[in-house]
Amino acid sequence: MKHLKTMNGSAWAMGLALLAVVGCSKNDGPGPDDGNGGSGEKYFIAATAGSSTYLLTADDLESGTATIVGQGVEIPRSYTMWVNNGTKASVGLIYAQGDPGIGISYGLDASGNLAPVGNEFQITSRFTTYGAFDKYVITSVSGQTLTDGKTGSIFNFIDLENHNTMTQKDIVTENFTGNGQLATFSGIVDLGNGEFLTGLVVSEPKDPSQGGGGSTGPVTHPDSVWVAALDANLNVKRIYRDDRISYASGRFRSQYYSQIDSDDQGNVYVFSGAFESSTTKPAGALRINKGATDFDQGYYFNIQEKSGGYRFRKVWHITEDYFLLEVYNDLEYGSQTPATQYAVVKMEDKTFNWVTSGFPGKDEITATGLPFADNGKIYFPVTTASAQPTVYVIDPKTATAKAGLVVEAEGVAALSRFEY
Amino acid sequence: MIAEKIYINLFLQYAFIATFVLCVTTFAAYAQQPVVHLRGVVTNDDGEPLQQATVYIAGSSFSATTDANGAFQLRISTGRHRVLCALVGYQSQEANLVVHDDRDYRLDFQLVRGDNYHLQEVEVVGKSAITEVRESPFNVVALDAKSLYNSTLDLGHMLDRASGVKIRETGGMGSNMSISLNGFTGRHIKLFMDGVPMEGFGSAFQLNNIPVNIADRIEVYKGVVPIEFGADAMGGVINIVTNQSANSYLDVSYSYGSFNTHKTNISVGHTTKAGFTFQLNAFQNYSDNDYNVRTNVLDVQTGNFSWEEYWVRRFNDAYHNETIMAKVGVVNKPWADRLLLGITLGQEKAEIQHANLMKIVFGMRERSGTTVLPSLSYEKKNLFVDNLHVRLTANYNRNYNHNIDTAARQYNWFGEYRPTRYLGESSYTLGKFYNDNASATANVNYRFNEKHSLAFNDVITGYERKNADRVAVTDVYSAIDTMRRANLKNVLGASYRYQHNKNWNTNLFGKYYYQRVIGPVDTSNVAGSTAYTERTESFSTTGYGVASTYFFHDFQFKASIEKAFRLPADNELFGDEVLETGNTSLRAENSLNYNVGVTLNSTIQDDHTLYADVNGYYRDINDYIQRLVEQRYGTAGYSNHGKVRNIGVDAELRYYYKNRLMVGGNVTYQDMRNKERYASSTGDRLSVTYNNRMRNVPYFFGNADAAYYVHDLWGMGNVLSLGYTFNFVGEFFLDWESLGNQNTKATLPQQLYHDFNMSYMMGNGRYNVAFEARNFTNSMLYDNFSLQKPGRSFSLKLRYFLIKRNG
Repeated sequence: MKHLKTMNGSAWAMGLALLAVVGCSKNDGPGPDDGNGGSGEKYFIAATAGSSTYLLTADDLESGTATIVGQGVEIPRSYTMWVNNGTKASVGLIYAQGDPGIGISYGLDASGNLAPVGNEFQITSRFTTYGAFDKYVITSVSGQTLTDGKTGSIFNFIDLENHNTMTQKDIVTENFTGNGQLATFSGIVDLGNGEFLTGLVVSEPKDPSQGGGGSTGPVTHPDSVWVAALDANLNVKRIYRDDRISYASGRFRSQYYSQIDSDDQGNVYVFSGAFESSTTKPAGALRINKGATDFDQGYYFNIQEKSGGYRFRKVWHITEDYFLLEVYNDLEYGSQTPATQYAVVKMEDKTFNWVTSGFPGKDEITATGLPFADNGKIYFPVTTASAQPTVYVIDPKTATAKAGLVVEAEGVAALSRFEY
Repeated sequence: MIAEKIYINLFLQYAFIATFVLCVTTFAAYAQQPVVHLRGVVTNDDGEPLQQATVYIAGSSFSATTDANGAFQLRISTGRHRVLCALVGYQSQEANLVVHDDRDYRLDFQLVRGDNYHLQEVEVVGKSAITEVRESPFNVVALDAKSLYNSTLDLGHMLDRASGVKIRETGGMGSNMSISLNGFTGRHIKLFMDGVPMEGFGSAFQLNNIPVNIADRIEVYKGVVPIEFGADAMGGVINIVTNQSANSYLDVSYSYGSFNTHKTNISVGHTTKAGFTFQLNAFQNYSDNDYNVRTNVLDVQTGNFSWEEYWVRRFNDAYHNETIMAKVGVVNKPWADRLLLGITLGQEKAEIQHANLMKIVFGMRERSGTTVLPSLSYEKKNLFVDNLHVRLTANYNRNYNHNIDTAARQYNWFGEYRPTRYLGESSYTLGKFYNDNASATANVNYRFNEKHSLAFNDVITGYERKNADRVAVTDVYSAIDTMRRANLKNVLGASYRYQHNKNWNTNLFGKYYYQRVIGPVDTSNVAGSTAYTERTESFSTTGYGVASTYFFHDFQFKASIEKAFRLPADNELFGDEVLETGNTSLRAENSLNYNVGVTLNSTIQDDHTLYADVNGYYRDINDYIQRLVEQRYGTAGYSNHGKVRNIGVDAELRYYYKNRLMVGGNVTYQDMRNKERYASSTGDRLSVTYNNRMRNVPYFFGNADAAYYVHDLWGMGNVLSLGYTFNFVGEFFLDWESLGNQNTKATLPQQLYHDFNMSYMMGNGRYNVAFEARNFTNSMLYDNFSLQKPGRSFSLKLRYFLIKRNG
């Protein structure tokens, strides 16, 4: 700023001089790093810092380092969710709590560089559950007042084969299971036949003056589980019911985490983390065999017994009939109890193994991203107070982990693998 | 509350009518009852009479303005007085006078040209002696509002011209306006009007809708804040001093401009010989804000955005507000120099065109608000004993806000819409809520002798917020808002001033902050349910500082330091109890603020005056309260984690040639960087943004202006003025500078724009016509990412101004 001391002309000259300074001092970081792979596939990393997202690619998730310093495509928004459907693109969704948000999808162009796939779209209604179905990514929010005054759910169908054209559909959720109660949808499992399954949280209507998020009122049937099969037009094809576990949904504030998923054979496992405090049923799982119209009465897995009493919040399929569970840290839990310990379950064998070897302790984990299953393993981005965000590679067969790619960033939100 | 709103509406309508009636009756009823007069003439050093010079008695509320012959007359009481004379462009003068009964006095002033743009010399009426302000050791700039009365500016845009200050708007008239002062924003800066905190005034009465005509000046205290503003303002304080003239005056103006913008302002004031005084300000703003913007457009059928950008016209952005400010009281009584009762009533209504990204557009959302603000102020010098000065103010505000979003439609920028199956374009609401705020200030000042004086100041502020209508809140996220949140804050300050000699004085001060907050806390131990109870927490801390100034020939040197605090807010202590947990062990954010400055005020030859001011500052901010999400703790919360260092310089240069030409400008450059080395408050993971420039903060900006006056054009005393302003803001990044490929970064582009104004004053300032062209090169301007501000606009303003000096 030394020229300020010597200024003796008009302010015009001063302004121009300072203008010149800014022109010279602009910080130009290193050039673009993406591209020139050409192997036909790359891993995708959605890293975060500040209020932005930085998209990176990597050839390997099991080793090496990556950084967002000077690298990555900056998207000036934080995406709540990245949903994968195939290997062409990952769809970033913003959980629009107040204002509507802008969704995007990113993939690779012909030369392997990150590029938008399809259009940006407006997510007008917020959402509390989401998933991939057919050629769509679906979001859903329940407990909405429809224009006819009834309570229902709003679904957005984002068509990945049609530039992300978004179709909004709604379904009345009053008296959904025939017992006069309201349903909230949780999870999307594509059955591959034009139908999808979703878990139901069945409750009394919510008193609007009760805060705390969510669309669920008092649960008067905490010892039952319902699952609905819907088609692309939200026609109800079937409703499954069983009384061996509680509802299939992991809840946190207003969110309803999916607790249903299919294995490699097409059998759907319906978990219950026994979130509802009044349930008498332990956390466990049931099975809907491929094509079946009812629960498999011969299959029941008492997970809570195997976990030593811990209940779980989230469920992800890894490979075969292996699933990863996100387990609460405390036996007794309230609405804010953390869940940063993980276990692998093999459903057919009903085995349960904690993931501890090679993995950060539950008190060290400050953030996790969305796990990504590939190559018979699951890649799990974990951030601790003392290490940069690291992709841990969990082998379900041994329930052991090892540290893989380290990403210099504030966090890693999601991973995927794209082909081009 | 509907009744209340109707009441306010009716009141405002009648008040506007009443204003006109008052204007007439005031001047009809005006009667001359001179007691003791001081008369005189103000001339320049060539002996030519000076018009519009202000002559006033230090420590009183009486002032007079000279007429075309340079003459003034002033009512004066017996005793020993210091009489001061000031005029923009001239150095102020003072004279001592001993007044006995039963005769008139004569006192002439001869003023020398000099700068009068800064606080040292624009302090006008009755608050404190001008010499005291001149000797202020604080890093302060003041903007004279009176010279802008012919413009259509609001207070915010006036403030934008101060060095070190940047105003950031989200759109046109009535849009959200935030202030950046030496890099500090939001909660770190406090706004005051006549020393009363404005934070509770409500959106219907804020910088973005109050015209400059109600102000006398704006003072900007940077970093080190005198105790009179009892506030946890870590970054500084902005004080709007309203026009408190004891003259009788009428000021009526109307302007019409682009985007169907109408502004009306009426000010009237009168003080009787018996000491009864009243002041009334009424103003109105209206704009369609239908300027063109360039943006991607949503296809309402597919829900997809276009990749191309289109020029589109804003269609749901009309804004209007109406405000009345009235004050009645007495002045110059044995028991009170000034006792005023006031009330401010305001209302506003704004359509909401878009979300925080411009491409997300709304067609029918709107909000409205009202504010009711009674106030009381009392001032007495030499209470009981000589040199004991007391000032008391009390203030209550209730503001009401109403948000409406009920349309089952999704709009795009072409005005097209698609019916949706749910209510609300964003989230369905008819939400209504009240904010209640109160504040009281007591200020006692005692001067032992010429060298030593002591002052105490105490400010209590409190607010309570709750929803007016629970049933209307259907958005599940705001249910927690149905519980009250309350905050009581007390800031006690003491300062000792040592005046070593005429050239050197020092101010030593300490502040004690106390805060008590009440808010809801979730006590549920049952998963999936919530049970809120009310909790109270209190908090206190102590700050201190020193400021000193030294005069040497044409130079003034200043240095000041303060350990300043910002107390945790209730949502930081308690969380929002939906997505965040509270942290009652938070410490106050604190900053060590250092300022050094030098001012040159020099008349080089008789006709040439130069003013230069350079201030450097250093801010060392610790214990930043940040929202952190750590999964192992279950949910988000606030933590004292963060260090920021800011080094900057504000510089100003101004040149005057006689009373014909003025050229000046200011520039601000700051280097504000994240100095927190670690990403987590509990571990040693290095932060990727260490030493990055703070994101989304303009750091290089300035403006330059020039004015040329043609005197006696088409008539004696008529003045044509031509003005030009050049505005500059350097490019800055929305997010951390070092992250991401530099070709993909979201930036706020460099802004360069030009304003032109022209005014013609006739009849000794009685009749004024002004023309303005703002942003006449039609630049695309952005203060906030993606939110485009208006392009080129024109306006024409007609103003009638009549003043009768008390005497």
